Amino acid sequence: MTRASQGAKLRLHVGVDRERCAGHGTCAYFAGSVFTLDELGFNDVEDLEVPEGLREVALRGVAACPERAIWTKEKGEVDGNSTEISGARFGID
Amino acid sequence: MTAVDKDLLARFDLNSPEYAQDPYPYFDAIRETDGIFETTAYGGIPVLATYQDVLYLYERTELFSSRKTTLMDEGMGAFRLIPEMVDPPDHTVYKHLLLPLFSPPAVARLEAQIRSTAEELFAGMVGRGGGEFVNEVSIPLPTSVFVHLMGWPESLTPQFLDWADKLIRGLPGADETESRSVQMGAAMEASQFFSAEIQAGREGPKDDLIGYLVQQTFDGQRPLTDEEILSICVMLLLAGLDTVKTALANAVCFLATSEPHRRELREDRSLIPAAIEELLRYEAPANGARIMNQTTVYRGREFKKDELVCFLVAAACRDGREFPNPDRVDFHRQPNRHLAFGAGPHRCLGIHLARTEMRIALETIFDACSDFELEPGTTPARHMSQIMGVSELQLRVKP
Repeated sequence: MTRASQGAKLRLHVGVDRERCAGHGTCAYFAGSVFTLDELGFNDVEDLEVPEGLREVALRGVAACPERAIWTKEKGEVDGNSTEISGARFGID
Repeated sequence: MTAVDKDLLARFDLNSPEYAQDPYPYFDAIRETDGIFETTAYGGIPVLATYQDVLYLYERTELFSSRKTTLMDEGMGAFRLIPEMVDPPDHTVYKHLLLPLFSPPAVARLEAQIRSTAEELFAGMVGRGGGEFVNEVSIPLPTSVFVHLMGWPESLTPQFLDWADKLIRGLPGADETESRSVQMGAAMEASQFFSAEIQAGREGPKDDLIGYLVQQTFDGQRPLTDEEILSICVMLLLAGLDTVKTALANAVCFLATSEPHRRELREDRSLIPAAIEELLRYEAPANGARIMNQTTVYRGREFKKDELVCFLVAAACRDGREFPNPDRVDFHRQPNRHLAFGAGPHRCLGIHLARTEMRIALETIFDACSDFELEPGTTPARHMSQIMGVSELQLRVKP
């Protein structure tokens, strides 16, 4: 184990870019235990710390979005310093 | 892969029956063209067919306008369908007006009705040991759903079934002109029916969808006009019938010819939602057109203002750069960001309703029989137009 990983307590966070969300509902369709929809069918997750055990489900929901509207971040402490690492978005030009 | 006829490829036309039986070799050739493919049809137009290109077209509504969404000039193309043929910002206003009608809770309220209709329709086929699926199930199911969505009594379904059948199939066996006049006649009659309902709704608002629309405003500025409400009604009729009918027929046709895929679903019903998405990707029924709002250069080609552009969702959904092994149906495919419901502002408004109809239909089929397959010795008929896919499917059904 490296020194960094010994001191790392990173948790996956997910949230939606509401400007980009078109309301397909595919995230909730494939990862309903992580993503919820508002009453019109748009993803309403602003910033959710994904519980242990749901990481894989959450990432499935993120990947399912045709609009690439869901961001991921690893947040937490690395060696006592507050850290935030943005996940790669499935880019569109 | 079937050989591609060079001449047919050069004059590729989404509306021509010549490509109907197996359009995919043509879609592949168009998508894999160096640069952007140009067909000589429609006076010469570009055809966008890669995943990236079709997604770009959907997202850049300021460049690719929905003022024109059909390749043909005649018929319904002249009618401005709301919200399909409206660009943002007006499109956003109409969409927000209609979203509550198609939200997940609104669709959930229709679910019991959809299930009892699906069960009744498919029971007929089980009882006779089979039959023609399109006529017996995949047209009547969305037609009945439309009547209930409008908030109307079941007794209106036979009338709409007659109109739906004419709108979708024209006059089978007749020539194109005669068939088109039957379609136009049905569209006129349905429009007159809607207009009378709008008048009745104005006189005393009813508890139905038209009753809701007559009370709505355009962005709080003015009430909706009769023309706007009529256009929305026609849009709901057209968008909800042919699309679901074709998507359902495509899905059941594939399953009827693939025993391993049927077995997979029979053994694990929880795969049905993923299977629906994959079958929508495998044979996306709706392709379309846009018109350029301004002159722009994209991928080295100049798209001129007012130029018509054709786009092939079905080709994009088989793009190997987005979907590994694109010609394989894999119910475990991940991710599956298919574009069968479109993307961006114009993504299908009825997405939750369509998914629910398809899920319930497949659940019903697997519940009601021990197995089904393509009737031996028959070939499914396929139709080619902007909504393309299976139009006749003889099934053998084992109780």
